[in-house]
Amino acid sequence: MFRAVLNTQWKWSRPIVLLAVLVAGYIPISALRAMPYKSVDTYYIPSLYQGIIGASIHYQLLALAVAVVVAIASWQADAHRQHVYALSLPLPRWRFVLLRFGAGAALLGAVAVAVGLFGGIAAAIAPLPAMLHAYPVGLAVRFWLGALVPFAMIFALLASDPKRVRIIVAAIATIVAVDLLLASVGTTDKPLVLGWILDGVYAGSGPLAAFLNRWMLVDV
Amino acid sequence: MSDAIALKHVAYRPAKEFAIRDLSMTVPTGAIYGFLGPNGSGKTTTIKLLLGMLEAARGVIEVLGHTIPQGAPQALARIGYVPERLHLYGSLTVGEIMDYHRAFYATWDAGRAAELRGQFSLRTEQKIERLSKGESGKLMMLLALATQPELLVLDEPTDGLDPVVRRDVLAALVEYVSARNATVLVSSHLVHEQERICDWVGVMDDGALVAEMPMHTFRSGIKRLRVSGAPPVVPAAPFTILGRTVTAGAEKEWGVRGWQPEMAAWFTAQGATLREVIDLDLEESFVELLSTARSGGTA
Repeated sequence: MFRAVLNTQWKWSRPIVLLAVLVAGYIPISALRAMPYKSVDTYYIPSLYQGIIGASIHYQLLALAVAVVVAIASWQADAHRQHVYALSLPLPRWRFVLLRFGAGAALLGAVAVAVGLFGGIAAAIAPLPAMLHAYPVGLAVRFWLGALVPFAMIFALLASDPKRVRIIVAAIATIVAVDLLLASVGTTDKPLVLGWILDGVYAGSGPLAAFLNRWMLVDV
Repeated sequence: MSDAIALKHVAYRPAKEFAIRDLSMTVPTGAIYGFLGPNGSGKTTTIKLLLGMLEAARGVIEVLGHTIPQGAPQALARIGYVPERLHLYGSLTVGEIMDYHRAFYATWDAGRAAELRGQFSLRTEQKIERLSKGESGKLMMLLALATQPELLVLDEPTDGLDPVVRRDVLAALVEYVSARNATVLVSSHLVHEQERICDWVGVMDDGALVAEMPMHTFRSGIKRLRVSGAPPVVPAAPFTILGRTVTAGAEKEWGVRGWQPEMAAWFTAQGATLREVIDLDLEESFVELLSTARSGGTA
């Protein structure tokens, strides 16, 4: 059953997953190009480090993009037909949702494997100074877990009743608009609710906090 | 005979302007139940309720012994469902959707599926979004029949299909039912088609079931009588008067249900003359019943 669901989701997400794999191959090459071939000169370390930090942002953007598209692709075909086919299948709704989620997570895992594999190859080819080490497996795991969070959020939103989603989105938009309006007329110093939401989502133990940290392929 | 489907006092309100109100209906096991009603009468909503796709606000729904919606997955494993519109994933091919569907049904009959695919002239590599309406209808019927269901729920399965495709689909259905003694609930507003294949009939209008009976009762019980000399107010009759309309002069046409020939004597006792008893076909009976229900009469 899982294989059947995975097959359909692979078909719907194939272009973005393949593109993500290509990008996952390009990012470490781009990051490590600062190191000349067979050179271990410490002179290059600052520029190499800059490249690695830049790659961290690219990995985060890639994770976010592929997570959003895979989440949308997970439900698009069902939503197009008002979920009638899915609802007519002989299994509990939660189990069908879990199958779809698992298939999406597996596809993100494939991209994460590519991130780790290409990162490992690039790090093995690049002549890294002794003080720097490559962490391709750690990066791949971080990529996968980091991508799962926005994937789960979008997935949950799209799996919900469209009417409920519209109400939630409209409510958030209204609160944010009022918040920005109050801040602009000087009632508050800064957007309070928006600031609180962003703090909650990104800071500390927020679900998207991982995106504020560096996803380093090479580190000390 | 036990019932394959039983709805008791079901209520559901999907919109302000429409509601299912106190709906009770029974589909006996082994019956081919024609679910008649005009567009928008609530047939599809009722079907979605009994498949567990929608949740009733009130009432009890039992399908193949399972209470819905709690037991919907177990019931759906024994049901073949063909919705009124294509519900399958358009980007998949015929072969892919057959593989996908098979994964969810332990009862999938691969041999029968292949046989039906050949019979319906469907190619495995055809993309679903490029299928014609007729091919889509055949594919949905194929998927429903290949799971060897005990109950087939067909929502306007032949609506919009050309006569040749309609004949193919109905032939496959009749062949399956006769071989497996399956129960069928077939919704349609194509009355003549129902007349050919159904042995039970339920008529839905504006969210309510206005009649439910064996097809032979429905077909033979509703008559149009041409009567003259009847008083404006008549006492209780041995049949149900659906409606009365003035035709020529003092002559009136009565729509009646539960008519038997020996009841003609009742008119003589009222000082009236029964001029003619007109047999109605199913469509005329259906229209008579609906117009009575809409005018607030007793159906």
